[in-house]
Amino acid sequence: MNIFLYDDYLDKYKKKVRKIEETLNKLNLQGKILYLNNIKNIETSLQNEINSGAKTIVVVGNNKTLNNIVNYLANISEKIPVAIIPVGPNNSIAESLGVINEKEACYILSSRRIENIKLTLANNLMFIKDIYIAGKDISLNINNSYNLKIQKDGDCFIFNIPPKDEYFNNKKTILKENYLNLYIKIGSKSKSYLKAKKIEVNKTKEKAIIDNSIEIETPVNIEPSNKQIPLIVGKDRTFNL
Amino acid sequence: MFKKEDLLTNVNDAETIIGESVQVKGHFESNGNIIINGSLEGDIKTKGAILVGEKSKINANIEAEEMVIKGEINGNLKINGYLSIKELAKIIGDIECVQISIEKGAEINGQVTITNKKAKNNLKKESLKEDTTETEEN
Repeated sequence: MNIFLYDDYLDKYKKKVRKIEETLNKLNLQGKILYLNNIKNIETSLQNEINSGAKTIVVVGNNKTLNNIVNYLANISEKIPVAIIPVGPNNSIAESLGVINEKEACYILSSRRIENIKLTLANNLMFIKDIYIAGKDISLNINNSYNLKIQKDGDCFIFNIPPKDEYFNNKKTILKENYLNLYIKIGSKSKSYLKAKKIEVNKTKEKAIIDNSIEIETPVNIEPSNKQIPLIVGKDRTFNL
Repeated sequence: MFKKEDLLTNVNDAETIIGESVQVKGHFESNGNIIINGSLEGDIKTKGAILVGEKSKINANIEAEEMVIKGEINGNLKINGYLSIKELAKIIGDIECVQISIEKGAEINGQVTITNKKAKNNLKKESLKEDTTETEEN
């Protein structure tokens, strides 16, 4: 059985949600809907559904909706495939998975192409796509081997799943290698790329942001975790395994 | 490895890029090609090639397979293959390499040693091949 997890904000997208449901019906992909605003403890609710034989968890929402359950899913013994139907903004994870819009997401769910994605650990939180830090004088310790300092205002990303980009598109084995991908952009000209096993972000003025949805205080230790979750992906995903 | 004349002009060929306004301090080791346009202090070691850009300033001992220098380096270089020193390059330190080209205008303050390790290794390999062929014929 499919378990659909509906985020609170979907009230604003009633038309889209109706269309999604129509497409799912056409594809014979019905299931049980859990509304986040009605659930007291999402982990308990999901565990009950898994115990009752849930075969797929379908997140209908955005990065934040998915991040609500990532740490729980990574730590349970049952490996239940997770799909995302993106609705509204802040859907960079879906985009990386090759899920561009809600209609396509329904067909991708039907195709059921599953990839096990390794997660990255930031302090004690696991994430799927990236962690972002903005500002000047950001200082990073890489692999306990060298320090890197960003001397001007810049954007610093540490990717678990890389974006579509001139550099990353040619590094097709990137997810296999169990490395973090550090990308620093300063202005329009300066770009830096590094691979690392471990990155420590020292104390910064700005908080770090996980998957554009969760803010965490620095310092933060980032390293590949040994956990993974099966995600349902599209053909146009930005990575290969 | 890169073609000699357009070593590391394409960012896609580089595993690591240190951009402008990025400072690296410490022991930097890689298996791939590196482009450096920022500043670096410490030491660098790679099994690939290194391109040092015009605006970069490096205080480090460097070991690499091949290297192109357009910026400033204060440190010793050990290059196991081809070293290309461009017109704006400034190097303070000793250089050891197998092949070298130096453009007019480049500054070098140090001892340059051009060894022929690769040629010797190739000769060794060839003579080993010959030995094996002889043995097979016998």
